[in-house]
Amino acid sequence: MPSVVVAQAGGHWAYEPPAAVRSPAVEDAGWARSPVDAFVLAEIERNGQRPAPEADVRTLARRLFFDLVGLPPEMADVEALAADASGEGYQRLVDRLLASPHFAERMAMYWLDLVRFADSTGVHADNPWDAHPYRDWVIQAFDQNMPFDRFTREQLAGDLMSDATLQQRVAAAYNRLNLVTREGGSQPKEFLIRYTADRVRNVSTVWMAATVGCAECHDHKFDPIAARDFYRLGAFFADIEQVGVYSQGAAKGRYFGPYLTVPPAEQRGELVKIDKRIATARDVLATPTDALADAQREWEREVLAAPPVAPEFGTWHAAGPYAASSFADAHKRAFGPENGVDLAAQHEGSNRWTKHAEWLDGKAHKLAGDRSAFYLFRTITVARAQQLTLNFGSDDSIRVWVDGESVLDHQVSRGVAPDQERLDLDFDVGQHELLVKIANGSGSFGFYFRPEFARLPDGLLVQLRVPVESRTADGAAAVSTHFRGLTPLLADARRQLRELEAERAALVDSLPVVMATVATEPMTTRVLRRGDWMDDSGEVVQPGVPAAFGALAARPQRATRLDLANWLVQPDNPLVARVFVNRLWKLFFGRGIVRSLDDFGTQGERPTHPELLDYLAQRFVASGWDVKAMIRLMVTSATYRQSSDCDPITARDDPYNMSFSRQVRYRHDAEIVRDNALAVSGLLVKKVGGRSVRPYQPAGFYRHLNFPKRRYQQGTGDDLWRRSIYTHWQRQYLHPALAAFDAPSREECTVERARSNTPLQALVLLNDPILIEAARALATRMVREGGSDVREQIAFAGTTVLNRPLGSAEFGVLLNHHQRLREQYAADVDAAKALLAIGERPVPADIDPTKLAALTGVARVILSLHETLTRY
Amino acid sequence: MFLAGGLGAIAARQLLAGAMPLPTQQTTSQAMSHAMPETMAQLLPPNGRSETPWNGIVDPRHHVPRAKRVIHLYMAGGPSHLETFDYKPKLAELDGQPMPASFTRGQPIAQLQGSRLVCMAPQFPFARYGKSGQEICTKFPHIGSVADDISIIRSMQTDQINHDPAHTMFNTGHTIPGRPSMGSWINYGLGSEGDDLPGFVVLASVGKGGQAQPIAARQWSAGFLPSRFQGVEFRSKGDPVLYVKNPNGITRQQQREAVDAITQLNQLHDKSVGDPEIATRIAQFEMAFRMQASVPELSDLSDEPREVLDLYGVTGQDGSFASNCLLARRLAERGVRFIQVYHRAWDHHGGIKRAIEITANEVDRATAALIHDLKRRGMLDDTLVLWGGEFGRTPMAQGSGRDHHIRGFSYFLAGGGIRGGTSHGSTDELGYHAVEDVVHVRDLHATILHQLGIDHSRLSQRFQGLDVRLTGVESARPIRSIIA
Repeated sequence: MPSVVVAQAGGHWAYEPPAAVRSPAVEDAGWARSPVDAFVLAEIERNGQRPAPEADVRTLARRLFFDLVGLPPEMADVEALAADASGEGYQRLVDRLLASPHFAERMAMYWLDLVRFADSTGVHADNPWDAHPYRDWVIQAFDQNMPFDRFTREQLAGDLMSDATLQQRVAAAYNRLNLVTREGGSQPKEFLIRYTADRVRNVSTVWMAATVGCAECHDHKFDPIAARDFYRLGAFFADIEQVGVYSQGAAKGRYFGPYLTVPPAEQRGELVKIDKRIATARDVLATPTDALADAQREWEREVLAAPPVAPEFGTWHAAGPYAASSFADAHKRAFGPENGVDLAAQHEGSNRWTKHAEWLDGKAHKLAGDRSAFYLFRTITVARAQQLTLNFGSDDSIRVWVDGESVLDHQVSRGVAPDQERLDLDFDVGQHELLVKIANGSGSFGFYFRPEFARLPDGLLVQLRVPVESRTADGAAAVSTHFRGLTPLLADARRQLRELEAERAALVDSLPVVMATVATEPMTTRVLRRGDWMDDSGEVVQPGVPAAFGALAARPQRATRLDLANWLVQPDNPLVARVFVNRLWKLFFGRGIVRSLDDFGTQGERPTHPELLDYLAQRFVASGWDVKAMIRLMVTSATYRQSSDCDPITARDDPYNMSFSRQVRYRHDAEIVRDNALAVSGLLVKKVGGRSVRPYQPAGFYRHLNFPKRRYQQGTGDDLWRRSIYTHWQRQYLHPALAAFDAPSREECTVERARSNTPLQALVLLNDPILIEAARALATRMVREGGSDVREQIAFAGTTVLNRPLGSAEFGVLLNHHQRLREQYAADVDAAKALLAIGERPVPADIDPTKLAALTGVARVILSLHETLTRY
Repeated sequence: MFLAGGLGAIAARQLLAGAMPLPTQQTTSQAMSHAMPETMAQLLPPNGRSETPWNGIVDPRHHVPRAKRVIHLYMAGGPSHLETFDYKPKLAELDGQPMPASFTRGQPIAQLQGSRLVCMAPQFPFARYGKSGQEICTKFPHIGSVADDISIIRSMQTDQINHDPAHTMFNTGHTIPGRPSMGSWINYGLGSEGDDLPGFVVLASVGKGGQAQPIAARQWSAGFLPSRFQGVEFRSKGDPVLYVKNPNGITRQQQREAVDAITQLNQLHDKSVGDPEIATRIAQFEMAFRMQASVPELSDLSDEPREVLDLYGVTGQDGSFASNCLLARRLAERGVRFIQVYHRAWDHHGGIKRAIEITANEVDRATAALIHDLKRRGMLDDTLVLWGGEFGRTPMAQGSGRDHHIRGFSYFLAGGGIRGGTSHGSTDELGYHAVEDVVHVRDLHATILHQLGIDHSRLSQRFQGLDVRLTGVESARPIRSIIA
């Protein structure tokens, strides 16, 4: 690891080394439970305030559950904490929650906002892409309490680490989460610069809380960040293999390579097994026998007497596009060439044949035009009658004629991929005409062609002419390998190997992939004047950290992303630990010690408790960047355990809780709103990780997406009830219920979500099918677990959702609502059944529908309460 | 912290609006932090009850407003200025000839990158319309009939040459996603006048004359402003607003009673915890319940007289641009502040002649009908209507069509204190560069805000270390010459 020098930047607090801090003296020393408390209490006492009393046990239990795992406690959890006489019950609960896999999901929710993780590209067609293995890596890292320095290194540069593991390379997919485009007509150069700027903004906000993005077009107006710093930081990412404008065609919609295959544990075993069988099949092919030796001698004699001659393929010519009224029309209608090809002729419209010497075999080539067709033509000349195998790919449909005779007609909508069609055709001596027609519905349009025929590999004839006894080992092996590839004696063995290889390919094909970060020759990075990508006159820069923040030690070679990561988490870099502990503090106390979570520069705020911040940052680094230990320190404090009640005088004197003299209450994050309803109703499927899922979503929500047009494929079974962190995150059309509760689109780093309170949220709570289904499931629990009496059943819902007994006035409201509904549904059983039919979970047959519908109405009210939505 | 208890709400508004220098500590993210009150509404005053509805941060207005609301007829895809409002006879003379390199050298080019650049004549004749004699393509005779009500800008420029970034630029004034859109800024600044509809409504239709480029919900996002300011899409199929329909098996009366029960329980809870956010929650449930009636009522055109339907050329709510124009008028009547009517139809890379005919047929009558209808109802005076796309199209041919073009294109404005029958700016003789009185998208933004009584330089929010404005950091000026 290179040594690192951290410079000081003009004395701005965030860039100064942390001061050695001592726990301040306080009057009420008995209040403190954790080292952080003295810092907070000293400030409270200085202001002449008192800390808020400790919250009641129920509130504490709920707070810990929502904060640490993002799920509600069961009543038994609250009761156990209340009954604890040892005084250690709280600590034990904290430890239990920190050890839960759901803790990792909760932390990942926040981290994914920071790194703008999503399941689609975010630009133009907003195509889905393969990113979920990265999300699972984040969850796993928090679950295993990966030290934050390692967490940083692996994301920025896992691929560059020596002997990088698969998991480390998955982590490096962080570098591929920037928005990318496939929009035709985009300038690759412009977009490569956008991608760089996107990464610079993200890395500087996530790790440095620095607004480096301000310096893209000019030196930062307030902070010591020059435009040059912006581009130097960008240069660290110049090695990432990427293209400016991603391709129009790819199998399975995988446009955004390079990819890394990430086999889940259970499928790794299958791969090992099949690899063994392949090795065995190869052994059979390689094992010499007398029969093979005889056959080879015979074959060599024949070949030397009459070597095979490769067919000649003429240059491709193309005519089109021929516009049609529909895709089917484009595929079927004869526009002219099928009646005979005259390369000088012109057909319908202004189409004439143009030559395409650049179309190489074995590659996909682009065409253009919606609802239209293209004709492709070339000659094939064979000197000896032979069979040729012609492989095609097409986007969308394909027809093929040889010498005017139709040999293939496949109307299909698809993306182009190699070898989608395979034709084995016999050709006589002479020149033949190959005519191909490709028709397109809309969007991408293209074709692929690859011929196969018997030929001797380059140089093999030379080897064959060497007498057997004079051949070198290499020469003999080359001849033998070629022979074994075609002798009928080994046809079965070859077929078996082909099948195994196909089986392996299918398995690999079914495995998840993730967009990989692959280092390649770095592109040149220039300072762009006023951010203008067309201006090539700026200075060429090398990777470097912002000068005011420090410098990498001098080195002979170009600095890498790994050097950047190492610099960030070097123990004497004061910034990164401050930034991260400040955000953890925000998660558990409602605001950061520095309130501007995203800006530690001169335009951001100063810490309200600078010594506390430095204490936490130093302790974090000294602990080996132990995230769980830092969270434990925070949530076991007396500061954390305060009540969030706010009397009017305190509200007036300290409306924004500048002294942390109370806890805070706020609406749950979007994911927790839904997950809570799933959990209390018993619908929640707690599986951790895996492909993103598609729960209920209003029909037609994606109708403004195109290329291709999108139809939401709702998931089935358990996928409908997974935690919301696994919901497919479409950047341009985020699930509307998540968006209504301020989940961000993740087009940019989000350090802090807005928490709005809107009518659209009320509409979701009242009418979203998942909440109706949750209400029905809760009602079912009320019947099955709550007791036989409706009062008991309603009380059960209260303790299940709110973990408290309902007050008598509350009871009155709910009983009255229930009574009314019961009467109405008794009068209209069909309405009751219609309500219960919402959602895929089967309706219990053994409960009277009018009863269940009325209780569903009650459950719906309880699930919509402000208290249900709020963390206290 | 700067909102000391004694500071009056108006002073606080001015602070947030940038009327006074912002104390350096204030950032938007904190303004939305839950450690602070949970909504912007509650920010002002800091300890008071929530204000619902939101009355806007620019209160009072920076100057006397001329418009109360905006209807943006958004011709998505990029209409050709050369077949709509900008007649270039010289281009006809050079039809089929190489485009002089002096025009195109060093300019960004989209799909024509690396192609031979050839001039393409205007595909249709133009005529002079109205007393003002405005020159308009003959394929748009209805728009011609309101020529004296509209002001045509023929010197628009933007920075982005592809659809997605150009829309983002046009809506948010910025090319990096995450900034608030025009409609969000305007609702943040002014609030909404209605109490049963959102202040920012989006309608969208798809045309048959060109490929329908995708549109991202980002285009009506509130960005870093609270989501109450985001655009709400009214849809022509399915629920007109997402989740606005009662679940099966729940009547309106039952929904009423459910909302009542929720409210009563929330009130009981408020008594024990004393949280002003609860009052907001209660108000939002009420608003939601009202929307459940007002939205379907609004979308149902059956109460419109035959004559009005004929004026727009519609028979009912069919998701067409024409029916969306009629919906826009109904939304405007009900106090919606910003109405954006997308027509995804104008990306004419090929076959532009036919495509313009089809698309003109889709939009011409309804556009004029809207202006006429607003005028006869006395609403045109305080409704600013905009018509145009995210960019224009090249004077050069792309086969039988035209490519994207950002150096010169056209827009028209009407109502809301705009002088009708006027033109502003021009392009060069081939319609390539705007050369006279150039209007950047930022200038158009400044003009829109100006008509609403907002000084664009004073409507800002701190985000990621910058005072962010709709008009950005570069200079922007309202177009004085078209303001009545």
